[in-house]
Amino acid sequence: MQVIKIFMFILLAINMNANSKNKLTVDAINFSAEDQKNLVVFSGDVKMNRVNDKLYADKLVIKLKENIDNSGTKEPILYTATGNVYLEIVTLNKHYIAKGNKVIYKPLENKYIIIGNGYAEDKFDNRKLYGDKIYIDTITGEAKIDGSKKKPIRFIMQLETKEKK
Amino acid sequence: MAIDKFIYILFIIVISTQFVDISSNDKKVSKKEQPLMILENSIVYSINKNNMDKVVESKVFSKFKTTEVLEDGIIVTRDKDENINNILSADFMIKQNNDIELIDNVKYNKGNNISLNTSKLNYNTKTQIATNKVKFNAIYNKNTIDGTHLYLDTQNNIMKSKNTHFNIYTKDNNASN
Repeated sequence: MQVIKIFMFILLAINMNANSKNKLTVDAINFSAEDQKNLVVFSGDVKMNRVNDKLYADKLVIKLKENIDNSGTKEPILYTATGNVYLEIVTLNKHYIAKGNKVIYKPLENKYIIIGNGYAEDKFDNRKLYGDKIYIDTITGEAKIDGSKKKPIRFIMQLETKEKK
Repeated sequence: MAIDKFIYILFIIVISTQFVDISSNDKKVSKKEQPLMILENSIVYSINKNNMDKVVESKVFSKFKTTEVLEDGIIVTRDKDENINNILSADFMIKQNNDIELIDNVKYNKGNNISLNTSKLNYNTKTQIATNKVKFNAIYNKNTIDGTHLYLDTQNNIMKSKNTHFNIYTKDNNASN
């Protein structure tokens, strides 16, 4: 009987963990959804949580697409955050803190794109990235940067130096 | 002389209390307006030229001079374009002209897209817009939503709210995250 109870508990824990991985929450003062436009808009103190990632912004627009299974339901394909965007991304070996004019999250590609005055800092190895567009993969934690003529890419890495006494 | 005055005052008090009682009784009667008609387990069908437009079901339907009260009421309307049923139900529904006030255990359902629970809702049968100021929870495209100050345009599928908490169930591949 005890073994069955433990087995049930493990099953429940696995199920809860799987659910939390596929769950994304958004808190905001205002919400509006227009089915015909396939858009969901949040504004005012927007907080988005996805697994361990956090996003804060003034406005978040979610674009939906109809599911292929003909159930009549829709799923999100693009998230666009604007206005005082602050982002924290946690992967296996990276912990980024990022800011930018606009942040796009593509759930099907597992990718964040920070656009305009892009800045990302990896807390694990103190790397700082600056660029017009910063791409961050949510699975591998890899970052790719695009610069522009006016704002070239800047990469800062803090090195540990041993001072001679 | 003093006895005369006392009797005179007593007379005035008695007369005035009689008037007060009568006026309050009148109010009670007007508040408890008797229904003109009561139907039990009623179903009312509204049919247009082509098909059935609306179905109204209730355990007790009471018709008053200006209002209609439905207990355990259900209103089913057909969506114009999508051929989907809009189902609205509540423990009590008070209908006055085009406005319906839904009280306690209020539920709204539209196919697989929206299902809503709240304790109070105002619905206009002409505009088909539902609003409230109290807490609600809903399922919108398989995602869950909690909030207050709901605005729901059931014909144009526009939904708005305040103080919103939205849960989205995603399919993204983030197993290693």
